[in-house]
Amino acid sequence: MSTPPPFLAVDALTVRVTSNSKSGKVILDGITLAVDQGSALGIAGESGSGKSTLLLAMMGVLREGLMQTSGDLHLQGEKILGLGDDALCTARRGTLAFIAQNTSTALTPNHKISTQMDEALRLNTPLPKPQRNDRATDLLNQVMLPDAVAILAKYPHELSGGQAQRVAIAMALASNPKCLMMDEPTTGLDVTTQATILDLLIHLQKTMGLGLICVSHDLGVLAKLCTQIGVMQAGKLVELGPKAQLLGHPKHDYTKTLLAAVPRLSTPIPPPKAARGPEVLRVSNLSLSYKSAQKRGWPWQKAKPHFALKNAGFMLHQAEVLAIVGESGSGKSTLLRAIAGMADWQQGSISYMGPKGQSIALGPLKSRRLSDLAAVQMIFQNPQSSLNPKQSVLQILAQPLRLYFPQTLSDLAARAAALCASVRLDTSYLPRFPPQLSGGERQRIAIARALCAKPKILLCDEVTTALDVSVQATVLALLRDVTVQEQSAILFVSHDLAVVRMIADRIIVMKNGEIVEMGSVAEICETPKHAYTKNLLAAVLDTNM
Amino acid sequence: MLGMVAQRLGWAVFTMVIIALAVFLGLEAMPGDACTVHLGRGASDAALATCRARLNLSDPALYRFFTWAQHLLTEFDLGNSVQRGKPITEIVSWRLRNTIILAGTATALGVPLAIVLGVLTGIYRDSVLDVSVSAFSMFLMTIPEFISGTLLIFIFAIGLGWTSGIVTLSYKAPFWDMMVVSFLPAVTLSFILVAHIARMTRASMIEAMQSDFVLMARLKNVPRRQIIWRHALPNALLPTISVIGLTVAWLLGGVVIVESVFNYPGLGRLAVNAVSDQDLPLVQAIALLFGAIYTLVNLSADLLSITLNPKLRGQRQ
Amino acid sequence: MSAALISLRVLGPAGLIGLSICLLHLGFALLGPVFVLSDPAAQNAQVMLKAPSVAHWFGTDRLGRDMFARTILGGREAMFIATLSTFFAMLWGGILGVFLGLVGRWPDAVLMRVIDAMMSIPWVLMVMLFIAIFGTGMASLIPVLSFSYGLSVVYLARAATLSFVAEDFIWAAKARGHSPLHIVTTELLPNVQTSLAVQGAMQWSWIFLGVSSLSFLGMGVMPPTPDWGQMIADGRGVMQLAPWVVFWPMLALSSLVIGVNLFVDALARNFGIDRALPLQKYIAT
Repeated sequence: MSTPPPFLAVDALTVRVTSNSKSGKVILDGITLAVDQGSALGIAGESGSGKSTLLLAMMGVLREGLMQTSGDLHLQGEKILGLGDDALCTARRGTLAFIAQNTSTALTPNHKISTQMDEALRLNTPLPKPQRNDRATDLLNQVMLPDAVAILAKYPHELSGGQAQRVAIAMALASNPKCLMMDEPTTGLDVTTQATILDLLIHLQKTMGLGLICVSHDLGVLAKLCTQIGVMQAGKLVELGPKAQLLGHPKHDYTKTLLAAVPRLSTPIPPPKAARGPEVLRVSNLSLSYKSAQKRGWPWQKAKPHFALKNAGFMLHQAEVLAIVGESGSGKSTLLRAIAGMADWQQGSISYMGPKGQSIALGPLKSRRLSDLAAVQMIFQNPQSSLNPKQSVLQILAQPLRLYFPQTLSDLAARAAALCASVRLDTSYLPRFPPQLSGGERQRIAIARALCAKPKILLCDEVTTALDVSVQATVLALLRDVTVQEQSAILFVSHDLAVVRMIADRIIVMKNGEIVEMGSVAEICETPKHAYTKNLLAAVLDTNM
Repeated sequence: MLGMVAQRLGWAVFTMVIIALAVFLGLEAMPGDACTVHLGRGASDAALATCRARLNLSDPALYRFFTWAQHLLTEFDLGNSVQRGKPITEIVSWRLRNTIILAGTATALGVPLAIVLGVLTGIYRDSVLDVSVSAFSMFLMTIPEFISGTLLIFIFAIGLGWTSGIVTLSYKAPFWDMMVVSFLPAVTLSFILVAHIARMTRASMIEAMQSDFVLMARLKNVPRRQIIWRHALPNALLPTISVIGLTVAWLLGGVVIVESVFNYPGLGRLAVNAVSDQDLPLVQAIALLFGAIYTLVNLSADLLSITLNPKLRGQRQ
Repeated sequence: MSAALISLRVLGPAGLIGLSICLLHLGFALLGPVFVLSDPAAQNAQVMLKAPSVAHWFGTDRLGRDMFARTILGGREAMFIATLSTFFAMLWGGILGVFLGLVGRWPDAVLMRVIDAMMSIPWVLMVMLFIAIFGTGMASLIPVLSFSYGLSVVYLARAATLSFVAEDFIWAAKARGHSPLHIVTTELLPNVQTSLAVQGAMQWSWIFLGVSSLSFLGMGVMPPTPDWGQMIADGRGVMQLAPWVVFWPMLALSSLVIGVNLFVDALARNFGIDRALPLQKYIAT
């Protein structure tokens, strides 16, 4: 008797961009894998690896402009790529269900949740209308949304990220699928919400015997959810195996690089610096409320202020890396912007150490002198928008150089080259333009630009969040070197405690605009005192088994 | 939402006040007054004096503005025409009706056609239909109304003899007769309307069909027809409403020329005559009316956009 | 040879056709008086409404004027007025739009409302109001056209500025301490200049059509200077008898406008600007 076909079988699948079927860019290159019913497969990879395309192909869909050039994909023994719409729906119904990455944009904006749930039920189950209503409420309860009635009456934009993600899971469960397909299930969610969603998925898997195919750039998420993990790089499946084997004893070089770059809570903390340098920045009792965030009613209604920062205060020392950790809304970015002068504060003071060791007060941007501005430099989160796409690297570096140190043109080129070298980029980068560079390269240029002014204080606003894991490690190492070489202090803002561990000397934890805990890395990570800090630590996902 | 609606209404009123001020007072700043303009440079002092007395031009400007505004708002009285001596309201009311018939016909013909064309070309991108519609609408967009109107007269009136081309009805003609006669001019007006709106709807539709929620609907096993009509279309049309409003409001500019081409007895043709007569109060009144209609159309488009957009409907702002 | 191939690839066949038409018209406008020998304004009662012949290549109109001369030279004044008006409109509209985009808050809200209000009056009426007081002629047309069309340039420049103001590299420049003028010229301008250039070309074609429409109504380019709009208005009455009287000016006018549109479309596509996207009204709320 022949063995039954695996639940999902991918056979040397190759997908290219259609513009030129012979030589179009290869998105998927000979992918082969098999999934059994009820098992949990995770596919890891960085941006551009093709993992999302593979996931969609497993649903029988190829995005516009892509074409299958060889190989095949079988679902329960039948081909699904290239099927007509009706046949595809029949094949997927009750078998596969999809959960999108960004649920807020994946739900139709003009339909209420009740309409969308009803649609999912109507098209995928034979239930009549009255039973559908009950089933919708049931499903929402199953995904831990107790006030189902209220949720059903809302529109997608009225839901929070976590609520939207759970609605997406409920909609996927509506068709009683055998397997859930998920694209980055927890990206964009708060750390604590992430943990809840993952727990929910594991619970569903156990109680309903659901299979899972999950795609993510976050190996920690996959380690928690899946039993089998595959790694993709540039369209190829470089390694595939049981979780313990892949994470503990990786075979392929890329897998090893990926694992090494993942920040973990278990890596030993670098030993604390011998002596603390003099104080370079002091923030005292800083309170800030955003006027524009207030609800604008009629002009005569007094607006209630919303405090983004409440009584923040700390000190930063020379050549020290102070990390500020918190979730969105904690006020960490606001604090940075206030120090940079981009936001006006109502109470408190900021001062830094001048060239002769005197304390100089900092006010809003307009009131700062050139020397003040040079002392505090900021690096932004998004490498796409922080560099002017119409300026070459040389021009980008020339702007601050000319502003802070007026000099001759030949001098300029030499200085720019030296700066590039300090961020490990050679002079061939000088004539290039940002759209031609990768995210990591752009971020390094942003660092070089900040270094032009020889700043005392570098403000880093989530500078590695938008980067791939392997590139992240390089940038963090670079920043650490800068503190040593230039003796600059760094204020490093991030939402990720594990990342922060790799670079910080001290950590500040913020929640709702207030500083809840402050201490050295060892103190915070090993002996946290505040309940919130403990939550954050617990929510960090580890790849250790 | 009520707050937003009230806010929009408030701004609309503010806009009207600015238009009135600009139209009325802006001209005060210029050399001469309605009488010197009308009677010309060679007018005798006596003639000027009588004219001025008739129009109360000796009163200070701001005072005249307020009396004029007061007359307008309480009695719908726009003053008197210098050339014809009659109250402007009388002269203008019939022609306003005619222009509204014309603009209304053009909108009723053009907007639905444009939306249908836009949706179809958006769904069936790069098909024969799409390419031919795009080429044709580019052609339509670039030809000015006086040329397309003249060509239409040439084809339909002179060539085929279906209509009389130039309108010969009196401005007081009954509603239906005016409606029939407005057909050819309305078609001329709608050319540019259709070209712009179809092109924009197409782009909006393409964007909607490529959106995340349409992909999700596909993966949820929603049949294609339902995806197009229930998911993509409503979201594609929403941003186009305010631009449709703008384009319809633009019609008012085209009306002046089209009415002249077809000799249609509306506000546009009246304005041209008023300018040749150098009848300043009349021209001012027409400018004001046009401004009011424009503001009203845009306001309606804005309010429609707010009520239909679930994101704005529930807001307390 | 290589220049021709490069332009073909950049513009595409449609764009190349458009460019050729534009260049042809430019040639007529600039060099016309040199090689057109007959006087476009010369009336001759003996050759009224004559069909095209060897003596008069394009025929004559109802006053016996040579259509060929009038067609070749009929675009000059309108094109001149359009060019000057476009220049001034882009200048004042661009500066004000960029200023409003950068400054924001209440000056932006109030001024945009005022501009909205000014735009409610159709440009035709505004021009007619002006002409009613000051009379016709270039001296009154150019200022009022520059003002009227400049209003929409304010919208566009403001929208273009707003789309970049939130970008981090502008914030970075502000945080470094660069002056607003430096930010506008060095950071902002290189990013918006292509779309502004495309807009400028489109404004030109609209203003040109506007001038022709005004000439049609008898308020634009006045006789004896020939003008296509004027000629079409003149010849309408005798269209049936002598179609060539309206045919040539129609052909000339349409070809110029289509040529400009094809060329600008090709340029816009090349620079990645989608002209069909809705111009969202940036009403300050």
